[in-house]
Amino acid sequence: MVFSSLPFLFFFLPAALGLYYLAPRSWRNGVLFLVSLVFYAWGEPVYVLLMLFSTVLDYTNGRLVQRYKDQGRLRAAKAAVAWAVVLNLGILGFFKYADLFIGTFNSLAGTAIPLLEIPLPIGISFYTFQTMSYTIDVYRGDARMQPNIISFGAYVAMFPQLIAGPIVRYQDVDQQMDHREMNWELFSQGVERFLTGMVKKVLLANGIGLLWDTVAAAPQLSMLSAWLGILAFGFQIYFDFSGYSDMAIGLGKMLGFRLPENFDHPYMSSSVAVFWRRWHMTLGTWFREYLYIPLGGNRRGKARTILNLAIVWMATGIWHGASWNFLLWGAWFGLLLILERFVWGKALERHPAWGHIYTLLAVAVSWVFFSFPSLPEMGRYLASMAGAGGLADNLGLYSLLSYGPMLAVMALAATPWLGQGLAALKARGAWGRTVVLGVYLAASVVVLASLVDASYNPFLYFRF
Amino acid sequence: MKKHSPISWQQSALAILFLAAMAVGLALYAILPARASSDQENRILAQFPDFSWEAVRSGDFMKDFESFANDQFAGRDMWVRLNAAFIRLTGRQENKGVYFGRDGYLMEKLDVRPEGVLERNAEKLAAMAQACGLPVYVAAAPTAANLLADKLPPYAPVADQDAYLAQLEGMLAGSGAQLLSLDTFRAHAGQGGYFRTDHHWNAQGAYWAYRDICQALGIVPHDWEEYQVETVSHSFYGTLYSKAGAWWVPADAIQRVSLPGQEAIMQHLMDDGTDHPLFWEENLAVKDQYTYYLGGNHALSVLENPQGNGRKLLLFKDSYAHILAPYLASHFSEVHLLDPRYYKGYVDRYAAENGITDIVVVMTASSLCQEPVNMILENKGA
Repeated sequence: MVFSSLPFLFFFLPAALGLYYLAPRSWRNGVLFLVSLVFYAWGEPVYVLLMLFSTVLDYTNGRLVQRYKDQGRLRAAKAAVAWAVVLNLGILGFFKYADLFIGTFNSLAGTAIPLLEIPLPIGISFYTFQTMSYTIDVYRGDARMQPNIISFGAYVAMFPQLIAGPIVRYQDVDQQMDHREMNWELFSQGVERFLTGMVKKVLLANGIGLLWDTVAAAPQLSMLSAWLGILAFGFQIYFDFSGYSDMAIGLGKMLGFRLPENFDHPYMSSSVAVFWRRWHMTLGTWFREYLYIPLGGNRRGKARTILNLAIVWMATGIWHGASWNFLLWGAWFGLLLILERFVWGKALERHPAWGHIYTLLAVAVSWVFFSFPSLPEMGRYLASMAGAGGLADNLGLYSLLSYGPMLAVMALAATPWLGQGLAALKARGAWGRTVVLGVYLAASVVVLASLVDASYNPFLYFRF
Repeated sequence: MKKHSPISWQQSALAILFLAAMAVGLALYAILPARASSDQENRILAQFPDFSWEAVRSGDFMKDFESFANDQFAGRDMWVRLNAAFIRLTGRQENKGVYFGRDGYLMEKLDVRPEGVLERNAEKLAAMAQACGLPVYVAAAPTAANLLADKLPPYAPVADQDAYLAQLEGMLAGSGAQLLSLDTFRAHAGQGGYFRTDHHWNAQGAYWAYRDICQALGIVPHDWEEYQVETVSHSFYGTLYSKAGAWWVPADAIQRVSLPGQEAIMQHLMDDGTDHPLFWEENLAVKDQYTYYLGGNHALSVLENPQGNGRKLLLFKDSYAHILAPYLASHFSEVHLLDPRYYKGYVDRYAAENGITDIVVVMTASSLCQEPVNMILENKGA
């Protein structure tokens, strides 16, 4: 089930909130676990069993690690963690990457091993990363073992972040699982945050997605069309994903959770390094904490740092999808980050405006790698961006006129200024807060109209 | 406890309204009776799905439930219009594949032609000519976006339908089937030959196409001045209006065009054996007023003119022919309208058994280019 749908808004959410708040406090993790299973089963009626299996497995592993640690058997504890990581990566590898490896092996070795054609379980990349973080956190002493399997299940399946993050590390919510504050102030903030995310997803991302689809399907592209297309894609994926994170954080607050932030105006960054500290922040944190630093980070000399960065960014790339273009996408960022660290990082710091332009260009090129699965398609698109198909055509001019206002609004919404403006209005007193209330209400009505019309509502994360 | 300012009433109001909206929405699903169909959108609406564990396991129940939730949402038509208005206000020039054109024109975008369809359709038309032993004249009605370039939004990209039609003409060359160029229609279409809110040509446009067809068949057409033209409705909102939700566009008019003094031509429906006049007055009261002409889609119907010229015309057609056929019926003794989307018999046998003397295909050019024509022939030729 996705948040931006009528069944979620008018059936699931009222039922979930009603049950949650009618239940006594001590039952609420149980209610959350249960409704989350229904939420997941709505989209994956069979794979919900896989998620339950994963939950039991990691709960048990957590207990094992804790017991060995308590007994002072650190090597056994370490082995248990390694076992948990191998199992989780095994599940992820089998369900997400099996066909990629079979297909690649076939084309390299000339064999014809049949593909498994297993449908990808929704959100598997997110929840396996979360459950891995749990055993590792317990091992490292960053979190306590969760003795209650219901509470642990509620952490894994928690519906706000289940499908598309933020990736909540266990240590982020360790305390909150059993002791969280639930009050009207937090709840009402949650509603506001949820609606903000809804506007981003439904009005902005869905609104511009059609432009990208049209451009991507066109047989020939002028420079103008190609740039408008990639601009549209960049905005679509940003508002889609950050909108979804806002909705998750808002829903979390409605339930008493404070989930980690996931986006911080990434398109305002003046280097790729800064971009990745502001884009999908919880994924970056995960890879830093559980891969980059264990590999030695930047403390083992230049050569090792370069190797570590390369490993982390290839892994980040392929995490995004079972297709080699995602590896290329990750490698592109890895390369730029290495160059920024050792070659031009200082220059970017001295010239933030140029840094900003360079970052936007680098990210625009990255979206081409991200969007097209094959090298010839990427090549053609990049050539069009460079002007190989002429400067402008009807598609480009039409799209500029038709989507220009939307693109301008999105450019503004990608800056912090819009949010700052609303905050400033609220600070001006009662009338300012009333204006903000009016803005939210009007926007919500239009969101509802768009959902009812159901003209275009894709979900970009099903393949993650 | 950390200190914080009390929550403002505005912040509480937003959360309360959010909760209230969810409760009211849920309650309205329960209270309001489910609608069977939408007049505005001209389609059947989804109902609450039947529950079975098998449907849940396969996910069909959830998909059907989502359709139900969308289709039966309280005040659906109003929300659809509001969304169209929002799209328009934010500067976008299209919704669901329909351009918001100038002067109140709504125009379908042309889709990219799927590989091989045009070739297959050309073969079918040629085979029909051979199997029936008669020339087949093909009147492919151009899509409005193709002819009314000045009514499109600025720079709106449109696939080159004329290029497809030129290909079709080339493929038909030398066979018994011939593509008509519809020069009269093309020359005049810009002067109000199409409805603005519907994809069809209107009574005036169909008249120009009729002149082109007459020329091919060697018939002297009536002049426009000979007809009595009456506007019978000012409130026609067509399919493009429904699709795009473009409520700000003014309604179209429906015209009744008839020859004074002509004896009434009757339409005989073969499916149920009933007889009807050419213009179905009662259909001016339904949403799709285009069905005023010949009552909409039927697999097979025959227009019988006692004062006809003795020739019998087979119109192999889609709905573009409904508004055109009455003009042709004033000449022919019989006009047989055969709709391949619904007619499942042998076309050549039908022509032979009914003494057909002339064959004309009237179809929209976009379906000829994009959708395989369904035609069964008994005599596959050679």
